[in-house]
Order: sequence, then C-alpha cells, then structure tokens
Amino acid sequence: MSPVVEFSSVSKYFDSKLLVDNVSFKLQQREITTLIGQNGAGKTTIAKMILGLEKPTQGQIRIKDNLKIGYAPQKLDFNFNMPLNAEALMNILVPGGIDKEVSELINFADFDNVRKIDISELSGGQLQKLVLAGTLMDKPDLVILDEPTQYLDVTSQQEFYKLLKQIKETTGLTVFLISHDLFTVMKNSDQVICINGHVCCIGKPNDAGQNLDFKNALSEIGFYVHSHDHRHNH
Amino acid sequence: MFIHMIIGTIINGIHIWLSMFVIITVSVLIGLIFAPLGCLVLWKRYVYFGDGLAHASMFAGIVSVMSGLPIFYAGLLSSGLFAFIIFKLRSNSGNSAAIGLTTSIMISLSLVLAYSYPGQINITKYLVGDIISASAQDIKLLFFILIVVLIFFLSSYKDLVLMILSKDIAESRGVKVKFLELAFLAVLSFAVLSTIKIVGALLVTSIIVIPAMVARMVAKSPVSMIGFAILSSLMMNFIGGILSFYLDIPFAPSIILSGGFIYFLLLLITHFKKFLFKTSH
Repeated sequence: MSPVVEFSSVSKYFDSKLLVDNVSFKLQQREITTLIGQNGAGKTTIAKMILGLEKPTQGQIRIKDNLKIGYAPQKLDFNFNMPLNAEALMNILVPGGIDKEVSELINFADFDNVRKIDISELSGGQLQKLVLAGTLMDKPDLVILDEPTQYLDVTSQQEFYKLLKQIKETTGLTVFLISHDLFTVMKNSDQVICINGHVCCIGKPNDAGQNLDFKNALSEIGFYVHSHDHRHNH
Repeated sequence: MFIHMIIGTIINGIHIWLSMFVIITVSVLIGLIFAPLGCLVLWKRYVYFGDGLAHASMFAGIVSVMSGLPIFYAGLLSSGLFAFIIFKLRSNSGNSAAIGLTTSIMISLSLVLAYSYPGQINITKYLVGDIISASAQDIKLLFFILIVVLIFFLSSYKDLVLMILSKDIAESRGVKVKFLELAFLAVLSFAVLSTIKIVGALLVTSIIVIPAMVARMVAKSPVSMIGFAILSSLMMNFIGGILSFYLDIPFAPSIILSGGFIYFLLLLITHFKKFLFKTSH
C-alpha cells in the first residue's frame, strides 16, 4: 500500500541554521507513528512541513491526493478576550457536525457537562480534551497531534489512546504523534521515529528493548543514559 | 422687520436641525464602523497598535496641511511609514517597544512641524477632532467604510474567529492567516484615517475599544459581543453627540465620557450582582 505521507531526504534551514537534516520516513495508513526528540530537535517543523505551513529547503515531501489533515497544536494560544463556550468551540472545530462513528469522543471530552461553560473558565486538561475531540470529530484522514496528552491525567491519557486506536481501526485514520512520554509512545505506537535534527532511528517500538541502535538513538535524544561511541557534528 | 425675524428663526432652526442630522448620522455611522472593529482589536490584543496608528495619523493631518496632499493619501503615507518602521524595529526590541518608540517619534515630529508653522497648523483640531466639520463627502466616505467593514466581517467571520482561537489550527485548515491579519489592519487603518478629522487622534482608540469592553461584560458569544458593542457604541455616540451639541463641548471627549459612564455603570451593576449572588449562597 502506498504511504499517506513520504519524506525523502528532507532538510530545512532557518536563516543559516539547519533544523531538519536529511530526514526520510513514511506514514502508512491506519498506523500511529510517533516522533520523539529533545526540544529544538525539529519535531514541530516536520509537523508544519506535513501541513504545508513550512516548505522544505531540500528534498521532497509526497502527500496522498485529497488528504484531509487535522492538527491539534501543542500550545493552546486561546485568546480569552473573546467570549466563547465549549459548544461554540466545537461548532468551530467540527463545522460538518458530529458523526455517530466518533461520538464516544463526546463522553471523553465530558462535553455534556461543559458545553455551556466559557472556555476561559475551563482547566488546561478540559480544554485539551475538547480540542482533541473536536480535531478527531472533524474526521481527518491524517491527524497530527503535538504533545496531545501533556495536560491530561493518567486515566484520561489511557482513555484517549484507547479511543485513538479504536477510531483508527474503524475509520482508517493515520496518526502522527509528537510526544515526550516514552512509556506511552512504546505502548501505543506502530512506528517510532527518534530525531535530533537528523533521524537517529526508525522502527517498531518493540525493537527498542533488543535493538542496540534503537537504544543508542534513545540515549542520544536523552531518554536512556548510557555511553555509546558514535559522534555527531551538531 | 418681523418677517426678517421669522425668516432668521426659521433659517436658524433649519441650521440647528441640519447640524443635528449631521451629528446623528455621523455618530451612528462611526458606531456601526468601529464597534465590530473594536471587538477584533480587543480579541487580538491590538489596542496598542490602534493607539499608535491613531497618533501616527496626526502626523498625516499635518503633512496634508503642509503639502496640500489630500488627508487620505497623507494618511496612507503616514501609516505606511508607521508600519514599515515597526516592522524593521520589532525584531530588535519587540512589538510594544517598537510601537511606543515610533509613536513618540511621529508625535514629536508633528509637534515640531506645528510649532514651525504656527499660522498654518491647528494641532488641537487633529487631537480632538470636530464633528461639525463633517461634510457630505465625509458622510459618503463613512458609508463606504461601513460597506467595506461589513463585507470584511461577513466574508471572513468564521476564519477570523478560528484565527483568533488558534493561528496554528486556522493555518492547518487552510485559513490565510497572514492575509487576514493584513486585511484587518488595512481596514482598521482605513477607518481610523478616514475619521481622524471628526474624532481626533487623541481619543480614537477609546472610541474603538470602549464599546467592545462594555460588550465583553455581557456577551456570551463572539456574535453577541459584536451586537452589544454596536448597541453600546450607538448609545455612547448618540448621548455624546447630543451633549457635545447642546453643551458646546468637543465631540470626541463627550462620547468618551458617555462611554466611560456606561462602562463603569455596567461594571458596578455586575459587581453588585456578584455580591448579591455570593451573599445569597
């Protein structure tokens, strides 16, 4: 099956600084791919290149025709000078109306209890749940989730990933996650990409336990602490 | 003699009614134009920018008098210069500092020019404005601006709300965020520049923002906020306009005081209601 998104030797400079260095990977339909890496490793830049908000300096990005991409950003820069309740927020995020297929997200976001509350009065977790639910209810073919569970408690995180897996199975959704939570990544991803400007390692999460390259890559981006002998120029 | 007196009284009455008509028409038009723009200024936290733009427009007035260039073109020149300097300075010192510095420089330049040409430039006119000076041409221009504002809001309302919620989400859904921001600033500049001789540079920002601040206290949605802002803008402009006419005080300060009164009255009522709610629970 042809990939939904394919990066071929993609590099991105900002001014003269190399942020993304010769990156290649594929996103397959119905798979959860997670990008892990330290701050400033180029994760959000890669997400923005998939969205078409940044152009690569070198290399090629192939995106399947007519692909509908949803995006839930890491930073919820909501401006609370505007009066807006949760129901109005959902109407904006899901302009086509809520489909029964994904209506379980309504319960996840606790929508019935918060629908009349102004979003400025909601907690970070409640707001993040609404944005995640709204993004998924819009029925994208590919969803990009940047640190989707950073404001959620452990129970809500587990509930979210369970729902995400369920939705991808029923709708064929492809998921591209950016996360710092290694435990959750290993448990819920089909493919993991470790990045530090360049791609350190790509593989199945199960490989991490046995594969030395994978261990070294994780070590390089700060997840495991142990010595290794390869060097980097940046 | 008697007939002359009657004719004089009739002419005087017509003059008063015409002036009242101009004041009411201009007040209503300014209210309808600035209320929705004010909401957007408040939502996007552009108050400081609006203030800077208004002061830069004083420079436009003085350039217009000195060069004979129509005020609108002088305004475009002045706001273009304002935007260019800020664009160049902001990477070095941040938006607020860049706007503050540019505004001060343009005001100082205006004052120096006014001081150098004492017979030609009446600086007070550009500071506080004069509603009576509004001509039929100005009223036509206000109608035109109102149509531009209406088209802007009706064609891009959903995109605007999404952009204000989150630029990232808006961009990912195909909203041309940079274009929309630029279009908003262009419409705002156009409206401010075209009304500066009526409302004055000193107080135009308050005229834009006060109705939105009043509306924010009572509104539950963006649309209702625009509606309440229009209502409070019409109220403050109407009361201010009438007071300005009968008490012979400048138009802009008069409507600002009316707006301020409405704002603090509503604030008091809101706090009183909260107090009652707390004591009853």
